[in-house]
Amino acid sequence: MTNLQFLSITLNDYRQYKGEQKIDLQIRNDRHINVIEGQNGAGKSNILNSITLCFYGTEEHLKDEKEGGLETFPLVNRDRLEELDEDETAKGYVEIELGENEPEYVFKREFTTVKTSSGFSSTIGDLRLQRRVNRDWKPVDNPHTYLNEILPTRVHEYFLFDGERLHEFFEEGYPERVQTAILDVSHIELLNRSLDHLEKMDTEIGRKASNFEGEAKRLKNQLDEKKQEREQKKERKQELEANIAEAESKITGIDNKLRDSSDAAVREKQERRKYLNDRLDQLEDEIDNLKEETTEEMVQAAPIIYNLKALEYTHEQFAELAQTGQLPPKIQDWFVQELLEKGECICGANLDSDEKKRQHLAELEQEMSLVMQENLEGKAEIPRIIDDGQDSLRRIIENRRKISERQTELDNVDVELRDISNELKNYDLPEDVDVSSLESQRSEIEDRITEMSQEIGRVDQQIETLTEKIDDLDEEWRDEAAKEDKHRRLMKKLDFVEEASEEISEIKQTILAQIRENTEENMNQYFNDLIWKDEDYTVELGENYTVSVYGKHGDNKIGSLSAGEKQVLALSFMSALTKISGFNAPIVIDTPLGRISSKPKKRIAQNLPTYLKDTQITFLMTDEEYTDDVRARLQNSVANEYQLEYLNEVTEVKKV
Amino acid sequence: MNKSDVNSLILEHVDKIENDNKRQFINEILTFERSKMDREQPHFKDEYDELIEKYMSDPE
Amino acid sequence: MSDTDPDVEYEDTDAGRDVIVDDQAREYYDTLVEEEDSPFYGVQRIDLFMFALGYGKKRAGQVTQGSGRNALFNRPSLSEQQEWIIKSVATYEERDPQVLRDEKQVYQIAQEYARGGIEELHNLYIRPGDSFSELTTDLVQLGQDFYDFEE
Repeated sequence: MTNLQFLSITLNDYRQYKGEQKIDLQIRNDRHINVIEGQNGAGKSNILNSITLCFYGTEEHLKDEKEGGLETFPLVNRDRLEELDEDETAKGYVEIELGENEPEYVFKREFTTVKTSSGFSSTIGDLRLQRRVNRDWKPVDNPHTYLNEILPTRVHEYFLFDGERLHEFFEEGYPERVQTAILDVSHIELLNRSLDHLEKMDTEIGRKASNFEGEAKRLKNQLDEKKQEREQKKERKQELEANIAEAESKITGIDNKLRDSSDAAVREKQERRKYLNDRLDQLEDEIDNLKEETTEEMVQAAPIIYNLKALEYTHEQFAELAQTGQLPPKIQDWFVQELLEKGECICGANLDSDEKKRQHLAELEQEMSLVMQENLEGKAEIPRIIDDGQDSLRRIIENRRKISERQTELDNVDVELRDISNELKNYDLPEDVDVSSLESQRSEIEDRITEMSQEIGRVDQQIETLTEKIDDLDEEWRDEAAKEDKHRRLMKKLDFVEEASEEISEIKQTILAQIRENTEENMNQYFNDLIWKDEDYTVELGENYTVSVYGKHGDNKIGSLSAGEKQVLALSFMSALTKISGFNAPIVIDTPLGRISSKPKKRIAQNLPTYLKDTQITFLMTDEEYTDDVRARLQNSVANEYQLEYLNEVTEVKKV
Repeated sequence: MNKSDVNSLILEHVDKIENDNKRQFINEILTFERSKMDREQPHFKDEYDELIEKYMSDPE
Repeated sequence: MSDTDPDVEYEDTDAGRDVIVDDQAREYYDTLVEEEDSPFYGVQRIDLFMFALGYGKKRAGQVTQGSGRNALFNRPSLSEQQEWIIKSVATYEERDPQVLRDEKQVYQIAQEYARGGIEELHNLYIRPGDSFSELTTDLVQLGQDFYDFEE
């Protein structure tokens, strides 16, 4: 892997930079950092602009007038322009040398400003490239093709960027920005195009398909309507979820503030509240489980218990039968059998000679057998059933007792939580943290979260209902449509296209997951490299592109990062992206430490040398950032140091 | 990951598709798209339509 | 046996005598064999074609030919081994050895992979870095994975 660096940047009559000024940026050995220091307005940001002007023909970081330009200001240095008469032109250029250790590419872009009657007008020339082949320099016909392999437009803003804009990156709505960035560096344009085109085909085929007469058309229209409705519901749900996430992070922020409060009593109450909330969750779970168990028992027990009387009665009947059946149940059977064989009944009747009697006895035997069977079974079984019922009932009673116990505890916990909240609301101690108002905010936000959660529940229901309806309609429509021969084919086409789309989508997701994983790994490293705290942090990048920053207690700090910490997070994200992109270009950062207060600034500066050790980094800093302290800490890693001297609207680059 | 790494992954995954019609269809779509990457908004409908007709499975 | 529709019949065709590339590809081939600092400096175009075919299969994907017709080399110059590689690519592509009856298609498949490959190779060359070293490392790694031995 090669590591390209900016060997030099030459500005010729570019904005404040009068004449030819060459800035040597070559790094060597351990010193991989360049610093260009200048006050605001001295043309610091225009150095970044000169690079993008040269490469891409645009200046992307135009600041206020002092920095030499609203877009309407001429590109060529104003002093130079003073020398011009009307209709005369002056040229300037930006030239950049790139290479690993020696110049291998020289990019150059000229620009021209003409003095008109009404002012000045500038035009930008074409990009030119010279390439070193062995010892010769050869012009290149297609410089953009080469630039595309070095640092294409699509990813350049992750290598050349304005540190001051960075702090906005992780503000509200950041997951979308994170997703876009990752898509930018992921090289999956091919898949995106395919998916895009397949979708368009899907729409078109669907449209042709809806040119049905009658029933099929009506169904299709209905279907489309419902689908749209569902989309809207889904959007609403996403909105709510995002709002809840934001609200929760606000609460986390408030909790952190309360917890860090200098008042011991407040801290204690926060701790207690946390414990109680956990206990609340636990109790609710236990109650749910017990209720479930109880339900099972009840289902078993109910038929028994509702019919106890009937059961008892039947059992009694069998018992009686056994008793009044003249003979003990077991004996009756074989006794009758013997009588039949002997041929004599106990009543004395001669059974042999009396066929009827014999028959009578035989029937009796039959009948008795049956009854005996039922008797025996029923007699043994019913008591068992009744016993089972009793056991179930005992368990039900026990469960109810347990539920009641927990419910009581739960009620008490609720009361105590309310008390704590009220106490904190009424807190009157003067301190740097306004406990009372924080607590009120907290309650309000919690209420809002509850409301929104409820709405999500409703919307979910609606979505479910709609999905059922949609599935039904879809089936109806396809059935109706398939009936017509000519449209059968369209339906098949639709299926085919949709299947292919799914397949490609899956591939895309797999690749993106890998890229997210790689990005997360890198972010972790860089964040920990830069952050000035002693503990180790874990940065996670979720499937939905949310970022979590876990401290050593396992708490997610993303909602409560300071401005400086957010800056570090954003910086580590940017660097992770540069690594993922596969391009090994150098990095230029304008105002990297702008938002950071002095103490963390020193600590970051201390860590800067280890940050992206293998890449050339050029910092454009104000004097407020590049304090003596920072300078001292960076000293051993700085290869080239410059100061921008701004006098009479002209900037000179002076080597330090 | 640089571009050829991503390309490799895409090729690997497509290769694994068992259904011949689907795999070949997707292959041809990707081949087409690769050839048009330098264009902002290429014409695609005719080509796609042709490919869909070609690889759609026969009715059962 | 493939699970392709058994009704798919391959026509018996012959491919043309020359292997043709479009104008853009022609430039790529020229650059890569003529520039001194190219890893393929001095290599025969036919051999570069085979390299591009493999590279395209693994790291680029098929690309259809653009405009212009330029003969790169003639088919009879291909060695037997090179021919068999081309045939295997097509057979695997179609999951059906029957495709070999359709010589035109066999070579079209090879062409499209080579077309994708040559463009990526050109990009690799342009890109800063030691493309030669990158290519050799890539090959060694793939070989090791497959043959399961250490270098």
